[in-house]
Amino acid sequence: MSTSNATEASSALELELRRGVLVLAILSQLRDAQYGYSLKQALGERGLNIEEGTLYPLLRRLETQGLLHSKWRTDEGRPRRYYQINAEGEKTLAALKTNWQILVDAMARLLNP
Amino acid sequence: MSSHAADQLILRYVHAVGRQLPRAQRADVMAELQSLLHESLEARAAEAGRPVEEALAVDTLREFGPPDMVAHRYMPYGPYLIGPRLYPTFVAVVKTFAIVLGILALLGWTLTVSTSPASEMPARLWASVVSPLQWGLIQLAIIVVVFAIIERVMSQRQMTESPTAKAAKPEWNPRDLPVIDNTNEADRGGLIGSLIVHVVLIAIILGFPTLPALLSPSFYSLVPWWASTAVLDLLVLGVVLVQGRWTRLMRLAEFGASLFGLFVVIQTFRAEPLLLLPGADLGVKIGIGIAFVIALIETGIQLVRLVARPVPADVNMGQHVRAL
Repeated sequence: MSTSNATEASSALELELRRGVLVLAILSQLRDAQYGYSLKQALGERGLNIEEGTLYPLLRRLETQGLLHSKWRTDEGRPRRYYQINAEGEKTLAALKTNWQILVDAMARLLNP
Repeated sequence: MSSHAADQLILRYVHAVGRQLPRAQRADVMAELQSLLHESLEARAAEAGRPVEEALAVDTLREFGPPDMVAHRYMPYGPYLIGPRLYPTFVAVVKTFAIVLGILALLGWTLTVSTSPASEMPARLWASVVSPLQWGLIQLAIIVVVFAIIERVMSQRQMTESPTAKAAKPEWNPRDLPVIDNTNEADRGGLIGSLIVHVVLIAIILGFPTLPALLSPSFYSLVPWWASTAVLDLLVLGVVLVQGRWTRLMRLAEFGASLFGLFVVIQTFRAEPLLLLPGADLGVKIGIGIAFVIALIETGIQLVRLVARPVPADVNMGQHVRAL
């Protein structure tokens, strides 16, 4: 495999790895109401950069799945849809956090035998 | 603050995504996307120390992703019978088929109304509507099956596509987005002119003097039908003028009124001579025949417009925004 092919394959796999943690990351940041762009900024400041084209549809999906609720507000003359985690989302977040910790521990044992 | 060109590009993008979304969520998603894209664009401009301009909007949209990919992400999880990639093509094929079928059905219906004796009219009219519908449903099922097969083949191919092949695909260009169709905006001047013409027409029809030596009883029996046609058209035009735009319902009403008008023209053609002047009937029939052809073409155009209508440019995104 050429170097460029390997780099592209690696990037695609890295993307898949990041996508696996997106829901956990998003739920963890929505205890306070945020709109799409502010959430993107908040995640980016903490080291997790997400494409806007991935984040915004995912927020909608999580709402459809009953984990978030949302409300339109007008701030600085601009309409914004704010999302916030609800009770069902909190339960899911707690479960995902537990599973995440199990995964982290397992990967630590696998990568550092 | 943003440039007009940048605003228009974002609007075209938002419409390109919205066109592929289910109607129930379309306006809300479009409103949110538009707000978020403007926010992203302004932040990008501030970071670059440049004013908001089209070039920055192109970069923002390119980074956001092609409209069909973004629309795909808004859909519920698959598997799909016909997925978001193929759906616009499927809709275009169905619309084209519906237009052709509609025009053939319209011609068949016209022929039925023109040639059926009064006693057989209801049964034949019913058959001229039901038969094309039955045939159309069977063809629609075949189209769905064909597209479902294509979706399955394409999905399997994509699953096995290498990252290199995906990366080799040319980057999409936001400047190639389709322009927004504004034909649903009401042409107020034209509407007012049409309204005046219709009012004058109704006044003439209803105020026509009684001339028993010139006009036959057949003529006077048709007056209420002509008046009804003009009143129906007047109502449709009036509602559109008040609303300021054509909605799907008003396009349907316009088409319904035109069908009724066609029916009246055909009955007028089939009626006994309208004028009692010797030799005048031929000229009257020719005139009615010309009116019939014009009415038929106009009804056909309305049918095409009704079926081929894309998402209206004036999707009311603002109604989903509620101020605190």
